Amino acid sequence: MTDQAQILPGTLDLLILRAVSLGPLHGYGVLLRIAQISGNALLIEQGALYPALFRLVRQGLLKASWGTSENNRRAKFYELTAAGRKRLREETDGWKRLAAAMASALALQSEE
Amino acid sequence: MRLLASMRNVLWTLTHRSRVNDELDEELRAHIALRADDLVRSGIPRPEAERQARVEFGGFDRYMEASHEAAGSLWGESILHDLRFGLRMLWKSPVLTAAAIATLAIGIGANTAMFSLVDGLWLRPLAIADPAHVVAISSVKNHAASDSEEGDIDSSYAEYRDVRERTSAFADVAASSKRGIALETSEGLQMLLATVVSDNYFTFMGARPEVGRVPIESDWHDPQAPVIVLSHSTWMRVFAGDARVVGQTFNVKGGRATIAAVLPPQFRGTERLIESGVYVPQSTWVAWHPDERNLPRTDREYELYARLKPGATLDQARPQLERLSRDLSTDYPQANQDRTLSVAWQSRSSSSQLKVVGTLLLVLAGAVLMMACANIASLLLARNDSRTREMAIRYSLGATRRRLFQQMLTECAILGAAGIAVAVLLASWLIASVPALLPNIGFPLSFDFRIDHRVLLFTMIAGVLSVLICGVPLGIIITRTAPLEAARTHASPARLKMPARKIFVVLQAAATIALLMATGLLLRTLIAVQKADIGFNRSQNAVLMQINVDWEGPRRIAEFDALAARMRALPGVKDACVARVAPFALSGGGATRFVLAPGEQPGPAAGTPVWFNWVDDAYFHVLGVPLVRGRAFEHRDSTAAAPVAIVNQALARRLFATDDAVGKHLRVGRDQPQEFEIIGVAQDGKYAGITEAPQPYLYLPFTQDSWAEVTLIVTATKDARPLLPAVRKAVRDVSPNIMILYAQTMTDRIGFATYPSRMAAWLTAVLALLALLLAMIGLYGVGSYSVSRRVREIGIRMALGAPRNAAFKTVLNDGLKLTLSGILLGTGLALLLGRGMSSLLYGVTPFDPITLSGVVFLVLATSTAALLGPARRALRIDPANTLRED
Repeated sequence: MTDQAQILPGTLDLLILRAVSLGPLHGYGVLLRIAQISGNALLIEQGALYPALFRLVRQGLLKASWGTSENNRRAKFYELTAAGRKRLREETDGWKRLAAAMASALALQSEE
Repeated sequence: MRLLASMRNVLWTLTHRSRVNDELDEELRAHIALRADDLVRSGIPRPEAERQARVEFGGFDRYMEASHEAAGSLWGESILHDLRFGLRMLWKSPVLTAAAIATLAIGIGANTAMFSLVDGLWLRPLAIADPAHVVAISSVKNHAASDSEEGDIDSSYAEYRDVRERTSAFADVAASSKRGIALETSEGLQMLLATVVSDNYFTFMGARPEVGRVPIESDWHDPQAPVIVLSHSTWMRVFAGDARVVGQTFNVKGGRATIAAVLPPQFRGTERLIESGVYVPQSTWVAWHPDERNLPRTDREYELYARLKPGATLDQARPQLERLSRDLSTDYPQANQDRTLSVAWQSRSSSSQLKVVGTLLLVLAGAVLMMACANIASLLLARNDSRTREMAIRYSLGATRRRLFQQMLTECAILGAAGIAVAVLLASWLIASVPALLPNIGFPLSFDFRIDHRVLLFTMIAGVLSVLICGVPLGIIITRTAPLEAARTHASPARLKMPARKIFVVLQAAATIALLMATGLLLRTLIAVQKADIGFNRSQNAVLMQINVDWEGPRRIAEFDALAARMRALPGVKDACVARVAPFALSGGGATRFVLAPGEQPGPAAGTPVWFNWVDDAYFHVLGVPLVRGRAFEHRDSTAAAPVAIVNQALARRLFATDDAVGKHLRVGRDQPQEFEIIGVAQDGKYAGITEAPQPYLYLPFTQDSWAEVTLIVTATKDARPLLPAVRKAVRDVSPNIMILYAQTMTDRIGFATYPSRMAAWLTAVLALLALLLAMIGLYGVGSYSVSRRVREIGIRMALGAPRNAAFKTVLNDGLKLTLSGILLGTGLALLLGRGMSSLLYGVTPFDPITLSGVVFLVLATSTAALLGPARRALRIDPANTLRED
């Protein structure tokens, strides 16, 4: 697991929003989707997901409802609200700019 | 609405906490199960898969708790948590907690008691139907110049009928008048304070009887037997609450009366201070006294009340009454010229003196509460020094400032709740002791002071305000502390807090100065009132007995002489006399006569009303009223001789601009004035109240005219009280037909006259002493605190060779600087307060420099005393020890 990166503080919320933006998911599904879209590159302790999910629900970015999973287990499903979709757009743009800036800055430094 | 919503939220969270937890639990377990399913699918046996899933999930309970918190909506829970935590913290320092609760209870309790007094005297709506629309109608003299004129606002019964019939703004109008009646029961004669009321009175007041049926106006359309209605207290006192007396008939002076009903205990009509013993419908009264059926309109004995019609306003009523006033003054110039019917809300018609006292007491009690709050905030601040690290650590662990603030406020609220509970106990005890403080005036006064929902509501508001006042600044100060700095060292946070505590102490000293000043002025007023020259020998012991005789004409004069002579023969009696009234009667100055100025033409509106008295020839000598000129009445001033009079200095000066009035003539009466020769000038005295300005007064001799209702004045060689039964018996022996209206001692009479001054002085004194105590505790606290903070500094200074008493001086100086700032501020406040209460003062100016310097000295002396303790502790600091410590 050494090739996995610890996620930066504050990025988990963005990852969750991104994961859920592709369709309603239960908590475990969110985890799998993050692993899938990040190419298994990010390490998240599974339980840490839930405080983040509840926080996002409280902020009105996600909404939750009980349903049944693909293998017939009762589970709570999360989906984006309009506010969540908007936040995702903003944060994605912001993150892209930051990442580009970081990348170019680090690239400059390594050439020195 | 938002408050409601958040309350619902709290309630929901509290009642559904387990359900929230169950859902959370289910969701997290579902996650583990789903993960285990996946692992099983990848070939791991189920038990092993489940174990691995749990491990991968991490700390189940921790995430559950974190999720719970993240879900928010936990406001209610955090309150519960804060409550538990707060109780624990307070429990850990019981002395401090008890001190804070006691301080708060004194502050709130004083306010509760004062509010209960003011509510009973003035604010509480009357226990009658629809009190909010009841107005008082008075017949005001247009150019009132003396107390006797200003108090002359009652109406005649004929005028009552006119107001009722000739105005349209009122739904109904009622009238009442205070009299005395004697009711003959199996126990003997019972003197009762009676209210003669218009026949519609009980309907007007919406009185619902406790027993029987109250008479209504239409009952009188057919002639019927006279009926009376008893008050609850008379029913209990005279008839021991026996319901069978309703329907029974009793003898009264003038006739017979059937008891129709008993009124409930809270019924007082429009009165607040006096509970009438019996209510007599006007028709009953007239049946007893047929000669009063057509009393002249100048006989003004009735108070009028009216209820506005729904939708009608005072402004609509006023022009109607003004029009009626004009009509009446045209129709009956003798009775109504220069009079205007004025109208005001009955709820506002309490005496203005009462209102000033009430407002003053509430303001002072409020100041005491503020000081109590300041002390509590100060106490909690001191305690929180030890908790700064705790706060800082909680803060860095992620507690928000709001949460810490909420915690502080919760602790204050716990103190507040306990304070309110103790305060209510304290106040009910105070209220219960009020009857013992009431003056003895010959019949029971019945103030209705109680702790009811209004008073409790006031207490709650006072409590919540005090919690906010001490909690909010405290919370701000404490949560403002820089967390990192506070966590690192335990010396720095104090820097932030000293100014707050110093401001508290300065404000307390200022409030104390103001309160002590108010007390000082009222005490000086009281002394002035007790030393005031009231125009007669106040120090002698005497019995005052108001009696009603049935002797007529010339015989009456002889009988009065015989009565006085009989009293003089009683053992222990020094002297005796008879007069129409004695000073400070309940009726105030009493009846008036119109005195014409020299050269004034007689006429329906001529003359000024002057209080007057009929006295016998011994009056001036017995009561000790000095005659500055001329002589007292003598037997030779008979009906056969020329009419004579004695005036007081104020009347002499008003008429003749000089005291030297002996031999001059004076005319009494408006249309056909009678001429009197002035044979003497009496020194000015006090007649209705001690604080009154000099009022004109006229004495006429009994030997030339007299009156059936008189006061027998019997002076005693020793204490007068034991003489009361003997005097009573002697009067009975003279004639069983003499009615004793009431009897009291001169001491009680003077006590009644000085009662308002005494009450105001003592109540403010209690409040001011509480304030002084609180201010001193505050100052002591600040002194001790600054010493404890500076132990090291002082130790080092001493080690470096500073003289020992330098530390002592510093503590004292720092403390007294605060007191001095407070004194400056407080002097300003005291001047303002003095101006507001100037109407209560007598014999002292509101800015009396002697009182002010006395107060300043007292505060300086007690401040120094409060600082001595901490300063001595500074002196005892051992440099070696302090340097070793820490």
